Amino acid sequence: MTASITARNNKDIIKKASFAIIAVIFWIGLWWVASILIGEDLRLFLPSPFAVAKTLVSLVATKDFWTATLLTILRIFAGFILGAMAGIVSGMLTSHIKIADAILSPALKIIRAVPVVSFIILAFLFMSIDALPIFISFLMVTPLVWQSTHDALQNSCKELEEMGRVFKMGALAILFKIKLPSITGEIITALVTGLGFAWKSGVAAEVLYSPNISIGKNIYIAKANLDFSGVYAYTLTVVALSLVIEILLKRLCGRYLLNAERGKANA
Amino acid sequence: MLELKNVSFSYGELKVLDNFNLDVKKGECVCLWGKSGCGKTTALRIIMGLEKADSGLCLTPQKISCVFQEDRLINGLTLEKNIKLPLKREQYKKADMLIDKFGLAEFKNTRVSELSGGMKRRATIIRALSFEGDLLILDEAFNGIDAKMKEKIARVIKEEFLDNNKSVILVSHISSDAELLGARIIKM
Repeated sequence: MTASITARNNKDIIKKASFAIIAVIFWIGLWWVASILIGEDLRLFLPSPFAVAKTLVSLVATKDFWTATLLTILRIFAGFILGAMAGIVSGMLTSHIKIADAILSPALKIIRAVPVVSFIILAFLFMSIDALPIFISFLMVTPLVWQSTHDALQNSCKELEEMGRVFKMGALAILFKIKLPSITGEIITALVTGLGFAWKSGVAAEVLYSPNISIGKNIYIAKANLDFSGVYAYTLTVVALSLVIEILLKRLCGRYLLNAERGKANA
Repeated sequence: MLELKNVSFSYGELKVLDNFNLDVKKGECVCLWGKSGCGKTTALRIIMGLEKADSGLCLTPQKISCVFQEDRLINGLTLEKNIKLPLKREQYKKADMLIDKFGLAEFKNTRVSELSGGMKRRATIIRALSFEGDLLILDEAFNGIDAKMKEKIARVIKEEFLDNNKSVILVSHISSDAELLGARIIKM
């Protein structure tokens, strides 16, 4: 049984990788054709993939690139981790304590609905530029993780909770032995989605307010200098980093994600 | 052992139980029989304390083992962990023995998401039997289990529960399940 599952998984991985390569070739090809068709005059705004690759290679060779990348990762990750923790804790609170639900849920729903740019502009008035991307990433992740935790605890755990009650398990045992293991899949799925939001919003905050050493500031400078190859190169860096971190997160939590995809609890 | 006297229960406007009576003696197996929606599962939920009757008297044992209609297992956990999740350490030995007896030893460390429906059912039965309640509730417990395994499980239920003066309440649409446990049939 295990051997056949492994063989099937390997086949699936090869198939997925082939499709991914075909998709990348297709889109790069389309980009190349578009950059040719757009003409010499406008090529400044849409450089060919080769020109962007050349810029990227030259950027990667500099120390500044790596320092900016590392600091951007640290800022966004700090916001992401704080947001994840706040989301899980608030989800647990709102799903169990009615008054906490009454107080926190509307606030979190409003945060989720407010455009990120409004927060970026308003938060600037109250905090340092370096802390801004952390705060914005935090704000993007918190409501998302909160909603998933809250919904999973409210809906899908009921039958398992009843089982625990009938079998005389205490409230803490039900929380730690039943509820948390059975909603881990949902939380991780929300974290993976939240990571994407954290990257987008964090870098947007960096572009708008340019913390000292950051990818966002480099994008802004490249744009100001009409170096659109640089803008594309940094954008590709952000996309690549986001993908790599997402893959790492998925790998780290693969066991649970698999369960989430197969349907959380068998209740 | 168990007594429900003039128990009534409604879900909103819908009256599910109307002056329902049930008396189960020590060492007795009772089968609740009736079409879907007649209140069998509701009666079981009241017995387990998961619903409160609108009126009537409910005398139920403290410790109840239950095989729910749904598996109520956590897919992310292994079969063994699922079975032992609500159990106390001293009940582990019995669980291990039953895992062996019901042919699940080689799947102990397999996550339940990878098991068949019949295997999951067996796991929920092992969980309930290992808990050693004074009353065993079997709500459609034998769904997806083959005849030979049913006999094996019924033998264990008789030995562990009925012969030890503990009671069993069975809900099933299959008359042979009731016969297997020598149940008194109560039409609802």
